[in-house]
Amino acid sequence: MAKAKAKRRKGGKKEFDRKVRKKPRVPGIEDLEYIDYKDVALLRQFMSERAKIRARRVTGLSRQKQSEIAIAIKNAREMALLPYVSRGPEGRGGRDRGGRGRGGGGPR
Amino acid sequence: MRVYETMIILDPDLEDSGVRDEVERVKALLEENGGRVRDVDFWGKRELAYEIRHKTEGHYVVITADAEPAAIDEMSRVLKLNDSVFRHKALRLPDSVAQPLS
Repeated sequence: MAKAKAKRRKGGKKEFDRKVRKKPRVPGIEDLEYIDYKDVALLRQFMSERAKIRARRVTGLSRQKQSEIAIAIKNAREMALLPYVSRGPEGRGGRDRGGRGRGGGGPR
Repeated sequence: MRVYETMIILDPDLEDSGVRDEVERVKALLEENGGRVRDVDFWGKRELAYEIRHKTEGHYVVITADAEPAAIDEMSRVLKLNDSVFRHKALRLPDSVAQPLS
């Protein structure tokens, strides 16, 4: 992450950092005063097909809300409402572009 | 007194009456310790996201109650000892969410 940033900066002026306010992928979420871990449908929107929690740079949430979502997902996982791991929809091999275990299968 | 929400996953092999019995026991325990049960929500049998004790389903129950922390601790202790309780989780609802009891 830090590496990539440094590369992009090369030659450019440091002051002009991206100040663009990214919008959350789920509208209205920032206004919820309480993220309920029982609301599985809501929380699923913040998970990848592999059941990973999406990064803040993807979700576009505020730091506070991202934290609340993450905690809610973890609570839901403990109560078996959401999976810790999932192979995702069938028929799509190697969807995760993250490193480890290339080729079919994936961690399970 | 604070408002707590407790979710319990019970053995799927229990009959509905068995589930009700377990819930009654929890309610009684809370009330013995000065608590007041507001609401009991039976979700029924629900598929688990992953196997627990080699079972793929569980009875879900959500109990909302006003209670002292000590009563919740006691309830958690008892639930932990109960073999037909797969999982339980008690959370204190934030004051902004928990409407005061009328």
